[in-house]
Order: sequence, then structure tokens, then C-alpha cells
Amino acid sequence: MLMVYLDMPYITEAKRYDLVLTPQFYIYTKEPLPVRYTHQATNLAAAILDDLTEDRAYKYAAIKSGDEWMLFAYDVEKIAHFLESKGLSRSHINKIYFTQQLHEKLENPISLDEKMALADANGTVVMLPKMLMEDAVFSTFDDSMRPKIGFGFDHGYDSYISQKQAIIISVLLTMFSGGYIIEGMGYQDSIAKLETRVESAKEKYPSLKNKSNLVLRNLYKTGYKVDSKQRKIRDRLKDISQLTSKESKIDKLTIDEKSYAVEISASKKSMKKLNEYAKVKGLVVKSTKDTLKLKGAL
Amino acid sequence: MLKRYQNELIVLIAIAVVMMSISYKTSSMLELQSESISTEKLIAQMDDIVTMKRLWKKNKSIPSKLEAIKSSLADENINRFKVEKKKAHIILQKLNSTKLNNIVGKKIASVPMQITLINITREGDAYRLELKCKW
Repeated sequence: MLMVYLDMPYITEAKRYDLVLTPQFYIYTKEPLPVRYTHQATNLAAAILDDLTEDRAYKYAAIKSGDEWMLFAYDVEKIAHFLESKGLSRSHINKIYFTQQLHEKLENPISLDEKMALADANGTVVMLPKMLMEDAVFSTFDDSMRPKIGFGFDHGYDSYISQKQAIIISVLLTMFSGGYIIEGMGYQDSIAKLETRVESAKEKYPSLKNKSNLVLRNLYKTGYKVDSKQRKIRDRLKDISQLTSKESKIDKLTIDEKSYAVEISASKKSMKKLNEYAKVKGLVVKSTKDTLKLKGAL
Repeated sequence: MLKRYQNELIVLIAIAVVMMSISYKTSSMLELQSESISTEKLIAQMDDIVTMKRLWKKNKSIPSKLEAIKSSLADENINRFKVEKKKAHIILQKLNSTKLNNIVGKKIASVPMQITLINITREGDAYRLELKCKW
């Protein structure tokens, strides 16, 4: 913790500090306010301390003290500027406290440096020259005196957007997200309903009832393969039978599930016609003078 | 540093959440499209599966149809005629071209069995036919 006063020493160690602002850096008053919550008191502080503040952007703080409220106004820019002159950048400022929060612990004045001390004057903490307190016993400020309530110095001071804007944007974006998630869940629901459609379609076919979709797809694939292969075999048989006549006879024919091979001997006269017909039917032709050879895959 | 840009960080997190929700929505939408197509296809295919199964696999009339072919032939035409529960191996011989055309073109081709082999060879004016099939 670091006590902030005008003659404070230069800061050499770069680390984050909690600051205790002395009365040189804040305006203070204590008022009985008819409010219950801190944010209400903070809002009222702006109106109450208005006469005491200059025309600058002050921040306000309020702390409940018995039946009354301690109200503070402090100039963030002025304090930040001062601290920078003392070697402390904004990014190294953590929480801030006010020396007024120490008034209950000021049985003895707290020594700030050789000349100045903090003392309690009728409930208000003030800075006094030590020379005015000749018989006083001075205590030193340490971490055990840390007040319970601290305040943010100026969160988001380097931001391109303010905290209010950030919250508004985030709320809007979150609402959009909610919409998209609800839409996505709707699609997922429809996907689940599709499965129900398949199940009810299976009801029509008792033999398919207990089979998974994957099994059904495989059954179709296998069945389709067999079906198309057998149809091809029969088509080939039909085509080849069209090539036979009194003038053209099969010498050899072999058809299995993968291929066909046929040799037809024919008269020279009919060979041209047979060749043309075979080509029209898509049969692979290789012919000699009197033999028509057909060979291909199914 | 995080504290310094906490406002931007809040907005970035919100943007990340939106991106994730858009991605969830989009992937769900695409999944639904593809599932719809494949489901419709599968439902249409069920009818084909049953028909093809009945035609090529579960046809109990095949042995009797093969027996009908056998009975239409003279003994000298039959070299081998073995019909088992689910398959057959038939060798016919001394078939003239009319008989061959009749058996192959009209009878064998019209029986819904899975032909695994047809082998025809000419021996002079007669034909030898070998047929292997299953169902």
C-alpha cells in the first residue's frame, strides 16, 4: 500500500500498488442520507459535492458509517497525472482507499514524512505539520491498517470503448447468441424427429424392424448390386441371342458375375451387320473374317 | 494488461460466444439438411430392399422352376442336374440351337435366381450348356 500526498517520494519499484489517498486528493463530506444502497448514495454524492468540486470529471464514492454516509469525490485525471510525475503509471494502480477510512485507527497521528502527519480532527482525517503536534507520539502506516472497502481507480481507462458500451454490446451479442442457440436446438430437435419418421416407416416392413439405419443402407447397397448385376447378365444374354441366326452361331460363350466373353462364327455376308449391331448394343467387338469376338466387363 | 483492456476483452468474449453459437446453428442446419435427404432416401429404399430381397434371396419357387426345365428335356440332354437348398449346378448337352435359345432366352433368364456362371460351347451342331446359380 502506498500513501499518496504531494511530497511523497518518487516510486522506483515497478509493481502494482494499492493507494491510500490523503485529503490533498479528495473532497469529503459526511451526510445522513435517506438511502439504503451504496449506488444510490454514490449518485447523490455527485449532487451534494457539486459545489465543492471544480468543473472537472470527478468520480464519486460512498461508504456507510453508522447512520450516515461518508461521501468522496476525486479527480482521476489529476491523481493519475500526479502519480505519473512520481514514476507510477496507471497500469500499476490497483485499488484505492481514502485516509478518511482510517479515522478510527488514528489514536495516534500517522507520520507521513519528516514534516507531515495524518491526524484525526473531530472525526475528519486531516494532514497537519508535525511542528503543530509537539507532544504527539507518531505511529507508522502499515498493511494491518488496510480499510475493508476499496475502490477501483479507473478501470478501462486505456480502452477504446467504455465499460457501459462494452456491457451494452456484450448484452446485445449474448442475445444474438441465445437466438442462434435456440435456432440450432430447433434443428437438433428436427433431426431427432427424422429418426422417429424412420422408425414409423420400419413398422410397415416387419423384416426391417430391428435393423439399424446403417444395416438398412448396407442391405440396399448389396441388394442393388446383385439386382443390377443380374439384370446386366440377362441384358447381355438377350443382346447376344439377337446376334445368332442360321448364318451366325455361338462357338463359345462364358458369362460370370464379372465379365462376358463370346465367340460367334458367321458368314462374311452377315459379319458387317453383326458388327454394327454389337456396337450399337455397346458390346466390345474384335472380329476376324468369320468370327465375331465379344469381350467385356459387366 | 488484461485489466487495461478489460472492456475490449468482455466484447471479444461476447463475440467469441456469438461465433460459437453461429457455428452451432450452422452445423445443426447443415446436419438437418443432409439427414433429411438421407432419411427420405432411406425410407424410399426400404420398399426396394424388401422387393429385392424377395426377388433374389427369398424366392422359394426357384427349385420347382428348375425342375420344370429338367422335365422339359430328354434324359440324353442332362449331364448333371444338382439342385441344393440354395444353389444349383446344371450341365446340359446335345442341345440343338432352338432348344438352347428356348432354355437360355426364355427359361433361365426369366427365373429370378442369381446366375454366377453360364458357359456355352458348340460341339458340332449341338451345344453344351453349364449353369451355376444361387438364390
